[in-house]
Amino acid sequence: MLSRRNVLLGAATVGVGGAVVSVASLSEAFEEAGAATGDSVVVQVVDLKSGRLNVFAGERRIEVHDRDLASRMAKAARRK
Amino acid sequence: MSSHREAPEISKDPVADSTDLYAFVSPDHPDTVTLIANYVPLQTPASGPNFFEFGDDVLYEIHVDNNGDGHADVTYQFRFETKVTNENTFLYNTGPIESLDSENWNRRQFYSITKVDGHGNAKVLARNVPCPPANVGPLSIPDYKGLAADATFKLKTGEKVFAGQRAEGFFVDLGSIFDLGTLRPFQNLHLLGQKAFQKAGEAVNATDRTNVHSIALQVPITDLRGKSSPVIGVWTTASRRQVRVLHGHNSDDVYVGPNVQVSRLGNPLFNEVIVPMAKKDLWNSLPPTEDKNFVQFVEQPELAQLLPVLYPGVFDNLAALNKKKTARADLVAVLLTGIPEGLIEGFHNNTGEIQADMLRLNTHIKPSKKENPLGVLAGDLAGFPNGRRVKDDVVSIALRAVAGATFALVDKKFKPDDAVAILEQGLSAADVTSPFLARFPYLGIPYDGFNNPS
Repeated sequence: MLSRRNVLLGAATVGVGGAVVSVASLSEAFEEAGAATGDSVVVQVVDLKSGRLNVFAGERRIEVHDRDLASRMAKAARRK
Repeated sequence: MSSHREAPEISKDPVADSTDLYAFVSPDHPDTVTLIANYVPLQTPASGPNFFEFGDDVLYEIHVDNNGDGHADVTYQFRFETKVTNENTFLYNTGPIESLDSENWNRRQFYSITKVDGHGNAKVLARNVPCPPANVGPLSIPDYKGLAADATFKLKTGEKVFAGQRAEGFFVDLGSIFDLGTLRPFQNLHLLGQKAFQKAGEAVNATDRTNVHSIALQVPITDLRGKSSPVIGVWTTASRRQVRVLHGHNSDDVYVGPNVQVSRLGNPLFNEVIVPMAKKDLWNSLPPTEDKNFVQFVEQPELAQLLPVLYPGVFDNLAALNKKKTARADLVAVLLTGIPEGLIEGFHNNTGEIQADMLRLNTHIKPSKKENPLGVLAGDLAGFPNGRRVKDDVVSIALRAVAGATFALVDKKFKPDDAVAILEQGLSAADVTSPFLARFPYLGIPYDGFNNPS
Protein backbone atom coordinates (compact mmCIF):
# COMPACT_ATOMS: atom_id res chain seq x y z
CA MET A 1 0.00 0.00 0.00
CA LEU A 2 1.31 3.46 -0.89
CA SER A 3 1.53 5.87 2.00
CA ARG A 4 0.47 9.48 1.56
CA ARG A 5 4.06 10.61 1.50
CA ASN A 6 5.31 8.23 -1.12
CA VAL A 7 2.26 8.77 -3.30
CA LEU A 8 2.62 12.53 -3.24
CA LEU A 9 6.38 12.34 -3.57
CA GLY A 10 7.05 8.69 -4.16
CA ALA A 11 10.08 6.76 -5.27
CA ALA A 12 10.54 5.49 -8.78
CA THR A 13 13.03 5.58 -11.61
CA VAL A 14 11.71 6.21 -15.07
CA GLY A 15 12.53 6.08 -18.74
CA VAL A 16 12.86 9.21 -20.85
CA GLY A 17 10.22 11.19 -22.65
CA GLY A 18 7.23 10.47 -24.85
CA ALA A 19 3.62 11.43 -25.35
CA VAL A 20 1.11 11.55 -22.52
CA VAL A 21 -0.49 8.15 -22.00
CA SER A 22 -3.63 7.20 -20.17
CA VAL A 23 -3.79 4.17 -17.86
CA ALA A 24 -6.38 2.76 -15.47
CA SER A 25 -4.45 2.59 -12.22
CA LEU A 26 -1.46 4.01 -10.42
CA SER A 27 0.37 0.68 -10.56
CA GLU A 28 -0.04 0.66 -14.33
CA ALA A 29 1.27 4.22 -14.39
CA PHE A 30 4.43 3.15 -12.57
CA GLU A 31 4.74 0.26 -14.99
CA GLU A 32 4.25 2.60 -17.96
CA ALA A 33 6.95 4.91 -16.61
CA GLY A 34 9.33 2.00 -16.01
CA ALA A 35 9.16 2.83 -12.31
CA ALA A 36 11.42 1.33 -9.70
CA THR A 37 12.93 2.70 -6.52
CA GLY A 38 15.00 5.84 -7.06
CA ASP A 39 13.65 9.10 -8.46
CA SER A 40 10.54 11.01 -7.47
CA VAL A 41 6.95 10.62 -8.61
CA VAL A 42 4.43 13.43 -8.12
CA VAL A 43 0.69 12.82 -8.36
CA GLN A 44 -1.93 15.50 -8.99
CA VAL A 45 -5.63 14.90 -8.42
CA VAL A 46 -7.15 16.71 -11.39
CA ASP A 47 -10.79 15.77 -10.86
CA LEU A 48 -11.84 14.10 -7.65
CA LYS A 49 -15.30 13.13 -8.93
CA SER A 50 -14.09 11.24 -11.99
CA GLY A 51 -10.90 10.02 -10.32
CA ARG A 52 -8.65 11.63 -12.90
CA LEU A 53 -5.03 11.88 -11.77
CA ASN A 54 -1.82 13.10 -13.36
CA VAL A 55 1.26 11.08 -12.52
CA PHE A 56 4.53 12.90 -13.17
CA ALA A 57 7.51 10.58 -13.38
CA GLY A 58 10.84 11.31 -15.03
CA GLU A 59 10.05 13.28 -18.18
CA ARG A 60 6.56 11.85 -18.49
CA ARG A 61 3.01 12.73 -17.50
CA ILE A 62 0.68 9.76 -17.28
CA GLU A 63 -3.05 10.17 -16.93
CA VAL A 64 -4.60 7.73 -14.46
CA HIS A 65 -8.29 7.08 -13.78
CA ASP A 66 -8.75 5.72 -10.26
CA ARG A 67 -11.70 7.09 -8.25
CA ASP A 68 -10.81 5.15 -5.13
CA LEU A 69 -7.23 6.43 -5.05
CA ALA A 70 -8.34 9.99 -5.80
CA SER A 71 -10.79 9.78 -2.94
CA ARG A 72 -8.18 8.41 -0.53
CA MET A 73 -5.72 11.13 -1.53
CA ALA A 74 -8.33 13.81 -0.96
CA LYS A 75 -9.04 12.28 2.43
CA ALA A 76 -5.32 12.30 3.25
CA ALA A 77 -5.06 15.91 2.18
CA ARG A 78 -7.77 16.87 4.67
CA ARG A 79 -5.97 15.11 7.53
CA LYS A 80 -4.58 17.45 10.17
CA MET B 1 13.54 44.99 -27.64
CA SER B 2 14.17 42.11 -29.99
CA SER B 3 12.68 39.63 -27.58
CA HIS B 4 14.07 40.69 -24.21
CA ARG B 5 11.32 40.59 -21.56
CA GLU B 6 8.81 40.57 -24.41
CA ALA B 7 5.99 38.75 -22.63
CA PRO B 8 4.60 39.19 -19.12
CA GLU B 9 5.46 35.76 -17.71
CA ILE B 10 8.90 35.26 -19.27
CA SER B 11 9.93 38.76 -18.16
CA LYS B 12 9.88 37.31 -14.63
CA ASP B 13 12.04 34.33 -15.62
CA PRO B 14 15.20 35.82 -17.18
CA VAL B 15 17.21 32.59 -17.11
CA ALA B 16 14.78 31.09 -19.64
CA ASP B 17 14.14 34.32 -21.57
CA SER B 18 15.39 34.16 -25.16
CA THR B 19 16.54 37.59 -26.29
CA ASP B 20 17.95 37.25 -29.81
CA LEU B 21 18.43 34.59 -32.43
CA TYR B 22 20.89 34.76 -35.30
CA ALA B 23 21.31 32.43 -38.29
CA PHE B 24 23.70 33.21 -41.12
CA VAL B 25 26.12 31.58 -43.51
CA SER B 26 29.45 32.02 -41.70
CA PRO B 27 31.45 34.72 -43.53
CA ASP B 28 34.80 33.11 -42.66
CA HIS B 29 33.60 29.52 -43.20
CA PRO B 30 30.92 29.74 -45.93
CA ASP B 31 30.41 25.98 -45.93
CA THR B 32 28.84 26.36 -42.48
CA VAL B 33 25.87 28.06 -40.88
CA THR B 34 26.24 29.86 -37.56
CA LEU B 35 23.32 29.69 -35.15
CA ILE B 36 23.34 31.85 -32.02
CA ALA B 37 20.58 31.90 -29.39
CA ASN B 38 20.93 34.47 -26.62
CA TYR B 39 19.36 34.20 -23.18
CA VAL B 40 19.41 36.01 -19.81
CA PRO B 41 18.85 39.62 -20.89
CA LEU B 42 20.18 42.95 -19.69
CA GLN B 43 23.00 41.72 -17.47
CA THR B 44 24.71 44.43 -15.49
CA PRO B 45 28.42 43.56 -15.63
CA ALA B 46 29.03 44.50 -11.98
CA SER B 47 26.78 41.79 -10.58
CA GLY B 48 28.80 40.01 -7.92
CA PRO B 49 28.90 38.03 -5.84
CA ASN B 50 26.44 35.90 -7.81
CA PHE B 51 27.13 36.47 -11.47
CA PHE B 52 24.72 35.57 -14.28
CA GLU B 53 24.62 32.02 -15.60
CA PHE B 54 22.45 29.54 -17.52
CA GLY B 55 19.69 27.68 -15.71
CA ASP B 56 20.45 24.11 -14.66
CA ASP B 57 16.69 23.54 -14.65
CA VAL B 58 16.10 24.85 -18.19
CA LEU B 59 16.24 22.89 -21.44
CA TYR B 60 17.60 25.19 -24.15
CA GLU B 61 17.02 24.17 -27.77
CA ILE B 62 17.82 25.44 -31.26
CA HIS B 63 15.53 23.94 -33.90
CA VAL B 64 15.92 23.74 -37.67
CA ASP B 65 13.14 22.90 -40.11
CA ASN B 66 14.46 21.96 -43.55
CA ASN B 67 11.33 20.82 -45.37
CA GLY B 68 8.94 23.70 -44.70
CA ASP B 69 6.44 21.88 -42.48
CA GLY B 70 7.17 24.00 -39.40
CA HIS B 71 8.40 20.96 -37.46
CA ALA B 72 12.03 20.54 -36.42
CA ASP B 73 14.13 18.19 -38.53
CA VAL B 74 17.27 18.92 -36.53
CA THR B 75 17.32 20.06 -32.90
CA TYR B 76 20.30 20.82 -30.74
CA GLN B 77 19.57 20.56 -27.01
CA PHE B 78 21.70 22.14 -24.32
CA ARG B 79 21.51 21.14 -20.65
CA PHE B 80 23.65 22.88 -18.02
CA GLU B 81 25.08 21.79 -14.70
CA THR B 82 26.64 24.04 -12.09
CA LYS B 83 29.46 22.78 -9.88
CA VAL B 84 30.69 24.50 -6.73
CA THR B 85 34.19 23.52 -5.75
CA ASN B 86 34.59 25.36 -2.44
CA GLU B 87 31.58 25.42 -0.15
CA ASN B 88 33.38 27.49 2.48
CA THR B 89 33.52 30.79 0.64
CA PHE B 90 30.94 33.32 -0.50
CA LEU B 91 33.15 34.27 -3.44
CA TYR B 92 32.76 33.41 -7.13
CA ASN B 93 36.55 33.28 -7.36
CA THR B 94 39.22 33.33 -4.68
CA GLY B 95 42.07 34.46 -6.96
CA PRO B 96 42.77 35.07 -10.64
CA ILE B 97 41.09 32.70 -13.09
CA GLU B 98 43.71 31.95 -15.70
CA SER B 99 42.39 28.67 -17.06
CA LEU B 100 39.09 26.83 -17.37
CA ASP B 101 40.17 24.43 -14.62
CA SER B 102 41.52 27.10 -12.28
CA GLU B 103 41.29 26.15 -8.60
CA ASN B 104 40.49 29.79 -7.87
CA TRP B 105 37.21 29.56 -9.76
CA ASN B 106 34.54 28.41 -7.40
CA ARG B 107 31.34 28.24 -9.42
CA ARG B 108 31.60 26.67 -12.85
CA GLN B 109 29.05 25.57 -15.44
CA PHE B 110 29.26 22.61 -17.79
CA TYR B 111 26.85 21.51 -20.48
CA SER B 112 25.85 18.62 -22.65
CA ILE B 113 24.80 18.84 -26.28
CA THR B 114 22.27 16.43 -27.72
CA LYS B 115 21.25 16.30 -31.37
CA VAL B 116 17.71 15.13 -32.09
CA ASP B 117 16.47 14.25 -35.57
CA GLY B 118 12.97 14.75 -36.98
CA HIS B 119 11.91 11.33 -35.73
CA GLY B 120 12.92 12.05 -32.14
CA ASN B 121 16.11 10.00 -32.24
CA ALA B 122 18.59 11.60 -29.86
CA LYS B 123 22.37 11.38 -29.85
CA VAL B 124 24.55 12.98 -27.19
CA LEU B 125 27.34 14.83 -29.01
CA ALA B 126 29.28 15.99 -25.96
CA ARG B 127 29.11 16.02 -22.18
CA ASN B 128 30.78 18.13 -19.49
CA VAL B 129 31.73 20.92 -21.89
CA PRO B 130 32.96 23.89 -19.82
CA CYS B 131 31.53 27.40 -20.09
CA PRO B 132 33.86 30.36 -19.60
CA PRO B 133 33.36 32.40 -16.42
CA ALA B 134 31.40 35.63 -16.21
CA ASN B 135 33.67 38.59 -16.89
CA VAL B 136 34.26 39.67 -13.30
CA GLY B 137 37.10 42.16 -13.86
CA PRO B 138 40.73 42.39 -14.99
CA LEU B 139 42.23 41.27 -11.67
CA SER B 140 40.02 38.20 -11.53
CA ILE B 141 40.34 37.35 -15.20
CA PRO B 142 43.47 38.91 -16.72
CA ASP B 143 42.95 37.34 -20.17
CA TYR B 144 39.24 36.98 -20.78
CA LYS B 145 39.68 36.79 -24.54
CA GLY B 146 42.04 33.83 -24.25
CA LEU B 147 39.87 32.08 -21.68
CA ALA B 148 36.77 32.44 -23.86
CA ALA B 149 38.72 31.14 -26.85
CA ASP B 150 39.64 28.09 -24.77
CA ALA B 151 35.90 27.56 -24.21
CA THR B 152 35.24 27.24 -27.95
CA PHE B 153 35.23 23.60 -29.00
CA LYS B 154 35.11 21.65 -32.23
CA LEU B 155 33.10 18.45 -31.81
CA LYS B 156 34.04 15.18 -33.46
CA THR B 157 30.78 15.42 -35.40
CA GLY B 158 31.93 18.64 -37.08
CA GLU B 159 30.10 21.33 -35.11
CA LYS B 160 31.88 24.21 -33.41
CA VAL B 161 30.28 25.22 -30.11
CA PHE B 162 30.44 27.93 -27.46
CA ALA B 163 28.13 28.62 -24.51
CA GLY B 164 28.75 31.48 -22.16
CA GLN B 165 28.64 35.20 -21.51
CA ARG B 166 28.97 37.66 -24.41
CA ALA B 167 28.50 41.37 -24.97
CA GLU B 168 24.95 42.28 -25.98
CA GLY B 169 25.02 42.88 -29.73
CA PHE B 170 21.46 44.03 -30.22
CA PHE B 171 21.14 47.80 -30.39
CA VAL B 172 17.92 49.69 -29.70
CA ASP B 173 16.78 53.00 -28.23
CA LEU B 174 14.50 51.35 -25.73
CA GLY B 175 13.79 54.36 -23.54
CA SER B 176 12.64 56.33 -26.53
CA ILE B 177 10.65 53.72 -28.46
CA PHE B 178 8.50 52.69 -25.54
CA ASP B 179 7.80 56.30 -24.61
CA LEU B 180 4.79 56.43 -26.93
CA GLY B 181 6.74 55.34 -30.00
CA THR B 182 9.23 58.19 -30.02
CA LEU B 183 12.14 57.87 -32.43
CA ARG B 184 14.65 60.47 -31.31
CA PRO B 185 15.82 61.31 -34.87
CA PHE B 186 12.17 62.22 -35.64
CA GLN B 187 11.04 63.31 -32.17
CA ASN B 188 10.09 66.82 -33.33
CA LEU B 189 7.62 65.28 -35.80
CA HIS B 190 5.93 63.14 -33.12
CA LEU B 191 2.32 63.92 -32.24
CA LEU B 192 3.23 64.95 -28.69
CA GLY B 193 6.93 65.54 -29.36
CA GLN B 194 6.12 68.51 -31.63
CA LYS B 195 5.43 70.51 -28.47
CA ALA B 196 8.28 69.05 -26.43
CA PHE B 197 11.17 69.10 -28.92
CA GLN B 198 12.43 71.90 -31.13
CA LYS B 199 14.66 69.65 -33.22
CA ALA B 200 15.63 66.08 -33.96
CA GLY B 201 17.52 64.18 -31.28
CA GLU B 202 20.24 61.54 -31.26
CA ALA B 203 19.38 57.94 -30.50
CA VAL B 204 20.83 56.18 -27.45
CA ASN B 205 21.70 52.48 -27.40
CA ALA B 206 19.93 51.36 -24.24
CA THR B 207 21.45 47.88 -24.30
CA ASP B 208 25.06 49.03 -24.64
CA ARG B 209 27.43 47.79 -21.91
CA THR B 210 25.13 44.96 -20.92
CA ASN B 211 25.81 41.26 -21.35
CA VAL B 212 23.83 38.19 -22.38
CA HIS B 213 24.45 34.45 -22.33
CA SER B 214 24.96 32.98 -25.80
CA ILE B 215 24.59 29.46 -27.09
CA ALA B 216 26.49 29.43 -30.38
CA LEU B 217 26.88 26.66 -32.91
CA GLN B 218 28.64 26.53 -36.24
CA VAL B 219 27.32 23.63 -38.26
CA PRO B 220 28.25 22.32 -41.73
CA ILE B 221 25.49 23.45 -44.08
CA THR B 222 25.05 19.91 -45.32
CA ASP B 223 24.05 18.81 -41.79
CA LEU B 224 21.15 21.25 -41.76
CA ARG B 225 19.90 21.59 -45.32
CA GLY B 226 17.05 19.45 -46.63
CA LYS B 227 16.98 17.48 -49.86
CA SER B 228 14.68 19.71 -51.88
CA SER B 229 15.42 23.28 -50.78
CA PRO B 230 18.38 25.39 -49.65
CA VAL B 231 16.13 27.24 -47.19
CA ILE B 232 16.17 26.39 -43.50
CA GLY B 233 13.82 27.75 -40.82
CA VAL B 234 15.34 28.34 -37.39
CA TRP B 235 13.86 29.02 -33.96
CA THR B 236 14.93 28.62 -30.35
CA THR B 237 12.97 27.52 -27.30
CA ALA B 238 13.48 27.21 -23.56
CA SER B 239 11.51 24.74 -21.51
CA ARG B 240 11.07 23.88 -17.86
CA ARG B 241 9.93 20.68 -16.19
CA GLN B 242 6.19 20.67 -15.58
CA VAL B 243 6.42 20.06 -11.83
CA ARG B 244 8.78 21.57 -9.30
CA VAL B 245 8.49 20.77 -5.60
CA LEU B 246 10.49 23.07 -3.34
CA HIS B 247 11.81 21.91 0.00
CA GLY B 248 13.72 24.96 1.12
CA HIS B 249 17.08 23.44 0.27
CA ASN B 250 17.67 23.06 -3.43
CA SER B 251 19.46 19.72 -3.15
CA ASP B 252 16.11 18.23 -2.04
CA ASP B 253 14.00 19.99 -4.68
CA VAL B 254 12.15 17.80 -7.15
CA TYR B 255 11.92 18.50 -10.89
CA VAL B 256 9.72 16.02 -12.72
CA GLY B 257 7.38 15.61 -15.67
CA PRO B 258 7.65 16.63 -19.32
CA ASN B 259 9.46 19.77 -20.43
CA VAL B 260 7.01 22.61 -20.98
CA GLN B 261 7.98 25.39 -23.37
CA VAL B 262 8.11 28.82 -21.72
CA SER B 263 10.04 30.85 -24.31
CA ARG B 264 10.25 30.91 -28.11
CA LEU B 265 11.99 33.11 -30.65
CA GLY B 266 12.21 33.05 -34.42
CA ASN B 267 12.07 36.41 -36.17
CA PRO B 268 13.14 39.33 -33.97
CA LEU B 269 10.25 41.44 -32.69
CA PHE B 270 7.51 38.94 -33.66
CA ASN B 271 6.21 38.29 -30.16
CA GLU B 272 7.35 41.71 -28.97
CA VAL B 273 5.63 43.91 -31.54
CA ILE B 274 3.16 41.77 -33.50
CA VAL B 275 1.45 39.66 -30.84
CA PRO B 276 -0.93 41.48 -28.44
CA MET B 277 0.07 41.43 -24.78
CA ALA B 278 -2.83 39.20 -23.77
CA LYS B 279 -1.57 36.45 -26.10
CA LYS B 280 2.20 36.77 -25.68
CA ASP B 281 2.53 34.12 -22.96
CA LEU B 282 0.41 31.73 -25.01
CA TRP B 283 2.54 32.36 -28.11
CA ASN B 284 5.69 31.56 -26.13
CA SER B 285 4.24 28.15 -25.23
CA LEU B 286 3.30 27.11 -28.77
CA PRO B 287 5.22 25.53 -31.65
CA PRO B 288 5.63 27.51 -34.91
CA THR B 289 3.01 25.30 -36.56
CA GLU B 290 0.35 27.13 -34.50
CA ASP B 291 1.27 30.54 -35.90
CA LYS B 292 -1.59 30.45 -38.42
CA ASN B 293 -3.68 31.45 -35.39
CA PHE B 294 -1.75 34.72 -35.17
CA VAL B 295 -1.83 35.64 -38.85
CA GLN B 296 -4.42 38.38 -38.32
CA PHE B 297 -1.91 40.31 -36.21
CA VAL B 298 0.61 40.09 -39.05
CA GLU B 299 -1.92 41.06 -41.70
CA GLN B 300 -3.13 44.06 -39.68
CA PRO B 301 -0.20 44.99 -37.43
CA GLU B 302 -0.94 47.44 -34.64
CA LEU B 303 2.31 49.30 -35.33
CA ALA B 304 1.15 50.13 -38.88
CA GLN B 305 -1.95 51.73 -37.40
CA LEU B 306 0.09 53.70 -34.88
CA LEU B 307 2.72 55.21 -37.19
CA PRO B 308 0.36 57.62 -39.06
CA VAL B 309 -1.22 58.66 -35.77
CA LEU B 310 2.06 59.22 -33.93
CA TYR B 311 3.66 61.04 -36.86
CA PRO B 312 0.82 63.07 -38.40
CA GLY B 313 1.21 63.90 -42.08
CA VAL B 314 4.30 61.69 -42.45
CA PHE B 315 2.70 58.36 -43.32
CA ASP B 316 -0.35 59.31 -45.41
CA ASN B 317 0.06 56.47 -47.93
CA LEU B 318 0.31 53.97 -45.09
CA ALA B 319 -2.78 55.51 -43.50
CA ALA B 320 -4.69 55.02 -46.75
CA LEU B 321 -3.55 51.40 -46.90
CA ASN B 322 -4.67 50.90 -43.32
CA LYS B 323 -8.03 52.47 -44.05
CA LYS B 324 -8.70 49.94 -46.80
CA LYS B 325 -7.90 47.18 -44.29
CA THR B 326 -5.58 45.66 -46.82
CA ALA B 327 -4.08 42.41 -45.54
CA ARG B 328 -0.31 42.84 -45.38
CA ALA B 329 0.72 39.93 -47.61
CA ASP B 330 4.26 41.32 -47.56
CA LEU B 331 4.63 40.89 -43.81
CA VAL B 332 3.02 37.44 -43.94
CA ALA B 333 5.69 36.48 -46.48
CA VAL B 334 8.58 38.01 -44.53
CA LEU B 335 7.57 36.55 -41.18
CA LEU B 336 5.47 33.45 -41.76
CA THR B 337 6.19 31.81 -45.12
CA GLY B 338 9.37 33.37 -46.48
CA ILE B 339 9.67 35.60 -49.53
CA PRO B 340 8.67 33.74 -52.71
CA GLU B 341 10.58 33.80 -55.98
CA GLY B 342 9.81 36.66 -58.34
CA LEU B 343 9.51 39.51 -55.85
CA ILE B 344 13.23 40.23 -55.40
CA GLU B 345 15.60 39.43 -58.25
CA GLY B 346 17.86 36.49 -57.48
CA PHE B 347 16.35 35.80 -54.10
CA HIS B 348 13.77 33.74 -52.26
CA ASN B 349 13.54 32.15 -48.84
CA ASN B 350 10.06 30.76 -49.13
CA THR B 351 9.32 27.46 -47.41
CA GLY B 352 5.81 26.82 -48.74
CA GLU B 353 2.28 27.30 -47.49
CA ILE B 354 2.74 26.52 -43.78
CA GLN B 355 2.60 29.75 -41.79
CA ALA B 356 5.24 29.55 -39.08
CA ASP B 357 7.43 32.19 -37.48
CA MET B 358 10.93 30.99 -38.24
CA LEU B 359 14.12 32.81 -39.13
CA ARG B 360 14.42 31.65 -42.75
CA LEU B 361 17.86 31.40 -44.27
CA ASN B 362 18.54 30.62 -47.91
CA THR B 363 21.88 28.87 -47.54
CA HIS B 364 22.66 29.26 -51.24
CA ILE B 365 23.15 33.01 -50.76
CA LYS B 366 26.84 33.66 -50.16
CA PRO B 367 27.99 35.98 -47.34
CA SER B 368 28.36 39.61 -48.43
CA LYS B 369 31.83 41.06 -48.75
CA LYS B 370 30.46 44.38 -47.52
CA GLU B 371 27.47 43.99 -45.23
CA ASN B 372 24.62 46.49 -45.33
CA PRO B 373 22.86 46.66 -41.95
CA LEU B 374 19.51 47.08 -43.71
CA GLY B 375 19.93 43.65 -45.30
CA VAL B 376 17.57 42.60 -48.08
CA LEU B 377 15.82 46.01 -48.00
CA ALA B 378 19.10 47.56 -49.17
CA GLY B 379 19.90 44.84 -51.69
CA ASP B 380 22.21 42.88 -49.39
CA LEU B 381 20.62 39.45 -49.82
CA ALA B 382 22.74 37.83 -47.11
CA GLY B 383 21.12 39.91 -44.37
CA PHE B 384 17.82 39.97 -42.49
CA PRO B 385 15.20 38.76 -43.28
CA ASN B 386 17.38 36.20 -45.03
CA GLY B 387 18.42 34.80 -41.68
CA ARG B 388 19.95 37.40 -39.41
CA ARG B 389 23.53 38.55 -38.89
CA VAL B 390 24.85 40.03 -35.68
CA LYS B 391 25.17 43.57 -37.07
CA ASP B 392 21.84 43.74 -38.92
CA ASP B 393 19.71 46.71 -37.83
CA VAL B 394 16.54 44.69 -37.38
CA VAL B 395 14.68 47.52 -35.65
CA SER B 396 15.06 49.88 -38.61
CA ILE B 397 14.30 47.07 -41.08
CA ALA B 398 11.13 46.19 -39.17
CA LEU B 399 10.09 49.85 -38.96
CA ARG B 400 10.51 50.35 -42.71
CA ALA B 401 8.78 47.08 -43.56
CA VAL B 402 5.77 47.79 -41.35
CA ALA B 403 5.65 51.36 -42.68
CA GLY B 404 5.14 49.97 -46.18
CA ALA B 405 8.56 49.44 -47.77
CA THR B 406 7.89 45.76 -48.43
CA PHE B 407 4.24 46.19 -49.42
CA ALA B 408 5.46 47.74 -52.64
CA LEU B 409 6.93 44.33 -53.49
CA VAL B 410 3.51 42.69 -53.58
CA ASP B 411 1.54 45.67 -54.93
CA LYS B 412 3.41 47.61 -57.59
CA LYS B 413 0.78 50.38 -57.49
CA PHE B 414 1.55 51.16 -53.86
CA LYS B 415 3.98 53.99 -53.27
CA PRO B 416 5.60 54.02 -49.85
CA ASP B 417 5.65 57.38 -48.10
CA ASP B 418 8.83 59.40 -48.75
CA ALA B 419 9.71 59.10 -45.05
CA VAL B 420 10.02 55.32 -45.32
CA ALA B 421 13.31 55.60 -47.20
CA ILE B 422 14.88 57.54 -44.32
CA LEU B 423 13.01 55.89 -41.45
CA GLU B 424 15.49 54.46 -38.93
CA GLN B 425 16.10 54.19 -35.24
CA GLY B 426 19.36 56.14 -35.53
CA LEU B 427 21.69 53.43 -34.26
CA SER B 428 24.14 50.98 -35.78
CA ALA B 429 26.60 48.27 -34.77
CA ALA B 430 29.07 51.10 -34.11
CA ASP B 431 26.94 51.99 -31.08
CA VAL B 432 27.87 48.68 -29.46
CA THR B 433 30.97 49.42 -27.36
CA SER B 434 32.49 45.92 -27.34
CA PRO B 435 33.52 45.24 -30.94
CA PHE B 436 31.93 42.36 -32.81
CA LEU B 437 34.34 39.57 -33.73
CA ALA B 438 35.23 38.58 -37.28
CA ARG B 439 35.04 34.92 -36.29
CA PHE B 440 32.99 32.54 -34.18
CA PRO B 441 31.17 33.31 -31.90
CA TYR B 442 31.05 36.77 -33.54
CA LEU B 443 29.53 38.58 -30.52
CA GLY B 444 32.00 40.72 -28.59
CA ILE B 445 33.85 40.03 -25.35
CA PRO B 446 31.48 40.60 -22.42
CA TYR B 447 31.81 43.81 -20.44
CA ASP B 448 33.65 43.31 -17.16
CA GLY B 449 32.33 44.50 -13.82
CA PHE B 450 35.34 46.59 -12.80
CA ASN B 451 35.41 48.80 -15.90
CA ASN B 452 31.61 48.96 -16.24
CA PRO B 453 30.66 49.63 -12.63
CA SER B 454 27.22 51.17 -13.18
